Amino acid sequence: MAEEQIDRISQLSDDILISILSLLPTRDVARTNLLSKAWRKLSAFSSLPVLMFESPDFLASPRKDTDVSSFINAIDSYLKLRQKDASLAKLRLYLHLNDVESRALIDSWIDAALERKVKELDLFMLPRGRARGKPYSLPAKIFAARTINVLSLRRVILEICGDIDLPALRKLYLGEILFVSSCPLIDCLHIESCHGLQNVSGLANLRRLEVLWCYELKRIEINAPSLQYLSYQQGKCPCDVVLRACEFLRDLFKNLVSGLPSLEGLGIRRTQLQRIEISHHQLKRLDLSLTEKQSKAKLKIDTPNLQSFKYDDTPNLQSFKYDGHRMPLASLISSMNTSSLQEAEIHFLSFDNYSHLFIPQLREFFEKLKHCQVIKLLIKSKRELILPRKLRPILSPPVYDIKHLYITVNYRSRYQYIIYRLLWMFHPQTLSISPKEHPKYCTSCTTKCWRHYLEDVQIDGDESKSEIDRITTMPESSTFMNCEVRFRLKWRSQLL
Amino acid sequence: MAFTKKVTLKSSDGELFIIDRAVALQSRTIQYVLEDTNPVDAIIPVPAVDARTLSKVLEYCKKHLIDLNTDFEDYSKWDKDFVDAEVWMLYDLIMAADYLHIPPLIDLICDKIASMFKGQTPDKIREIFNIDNDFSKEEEEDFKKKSGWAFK
Repeated sequence: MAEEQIDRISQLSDDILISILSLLPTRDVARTNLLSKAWRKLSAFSSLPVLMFESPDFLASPRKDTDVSSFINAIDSYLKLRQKDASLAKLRLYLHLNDVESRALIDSWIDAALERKVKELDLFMLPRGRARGKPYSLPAKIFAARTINVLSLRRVILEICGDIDLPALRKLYLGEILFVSSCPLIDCLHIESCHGLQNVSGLANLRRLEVLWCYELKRIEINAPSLQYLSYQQGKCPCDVVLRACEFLRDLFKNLVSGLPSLEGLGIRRTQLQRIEISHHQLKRLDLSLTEKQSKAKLKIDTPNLQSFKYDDTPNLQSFKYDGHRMPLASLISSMNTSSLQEAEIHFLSFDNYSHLFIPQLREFFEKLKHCQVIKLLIKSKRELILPRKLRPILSPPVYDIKHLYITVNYRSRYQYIIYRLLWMFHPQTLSISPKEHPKYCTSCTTKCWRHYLEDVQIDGDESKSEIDRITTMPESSTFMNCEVRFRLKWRSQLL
Repeated sequence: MAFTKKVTLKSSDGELFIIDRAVALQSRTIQYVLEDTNPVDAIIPVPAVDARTLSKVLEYCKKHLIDLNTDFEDYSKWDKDFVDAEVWMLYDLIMAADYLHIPPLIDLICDKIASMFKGQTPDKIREIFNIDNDFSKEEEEDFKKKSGWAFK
């Protein structure tokens, strides 16, 4: 018997079927009315716990043949003809405001939902067409809704006159809104593109806070002992970020650092900060990315691993990753404390404003990193490491202590120059070179290739430039090999 | 009291599944049975679920036990692949999950079935789920006229 031919979905329990319907936009639920009589009974609007209405072609360009009036009538009847005691778990209204005759009508829908003790309210009111420039103003009643525990608001105006009384609120999402104030139980707050929002404070129960694209924000003051996640994107104005008592903060993104004693990792990316001071004893990982506009930024890093920030006393820093334009090296070097740095990864973007001071600074910088076990260097062009002939004598002695130097070169075929220059500055114990496109060999084969058996290589010949060039050219071609170079190869008899 | 580390489940068609107790505890139904009777080395019958479905349910329980600490993304990818199954399998799974009372699995399958409804015409949905249309042409037209918003 073909079990595919039996209608088994209609045999599922009503509870499960209602759960499935609760995940669907109400438009799709309404279509199930047409499936069969049993389905029509099931999806009667009076019993649906979740109503999700979206204007036809919401967020898309309007079509001519959409039936807006029957859509509006449907919302009206689904909400108002519903029995008062039939509680509503969730109401979502994503509306084009020009589809609705009057704002009072929307108010009445929200009223109807509140009367039916709605728990989750999700509103997105897009002013367009004739409603352009006239956003929807939220009725004050919402802020006294004692049953709401999840509130999500986008593109609406909040005018709060009286007190906010949302004792059950656990989740608040605000997008493209004007304002915020304090609700003591909020534990998850996402604020995006809220123009006019100037202060965020209070919020003692916060666990997760995201503040994105709020250009007029001037101050965030959080006194939340259980804050675990913070993401903040700086706007146009300088903004003070003050975090107190956030002992549980584990991930901190974007641009703030202050008394977070147990912070272990810090990433600073895509900011426009002109002054970064980091002074931290526990910091172990620092991932810093600066843009072109920050080439003059003042960095002070007092974590024992960094470059051009104010890294003050962070003696436990173990790994440091830098990628960006020209490092503000001079300011960095003088303030760096890198005594326990074990690994550093440096990516240089293009240098258009090359300065002859750069190489000596770089050397000085690497001198600071000499305790590192591993230095990884990503170089995009040989121009980054031009070493003027007259400077070569003053560079000595090279930095000896570095054990492993990994170089990834984007610039095809010319990395012998880069290596030649680097070896003026370093005498690493091992040197690994990889082109950006990694050759794939034998990683997945059971039979290992010859490289696995090579234990040591020594080179007989003059320690001259041409010699080194030739060696470093080896992986790519041997066309320059016109004098003899002898390699002494030491092999191991079996794999380690 | 000594807890047995292993639990034996018996499917409706008589197959035995010996699994870790922690895996079995994800089913509240089995949790109640274990708490009530604490059967040492006894076999717990699962009369509503056949072997094919039970092994799939247990696969889910094992994954969600072991990988409690994996990233959310890895997890959701696995879940997505897990429910990428034939419709009849989804029915079997959801009925088993309902009987065994494993709420996250119920949610996962509800989500999958809901996604199969989304944006589809009634005709298409009837075809996917083999639902018989017991409306007359007139009833159908009448409803479409009244609920124009749902069909455009």
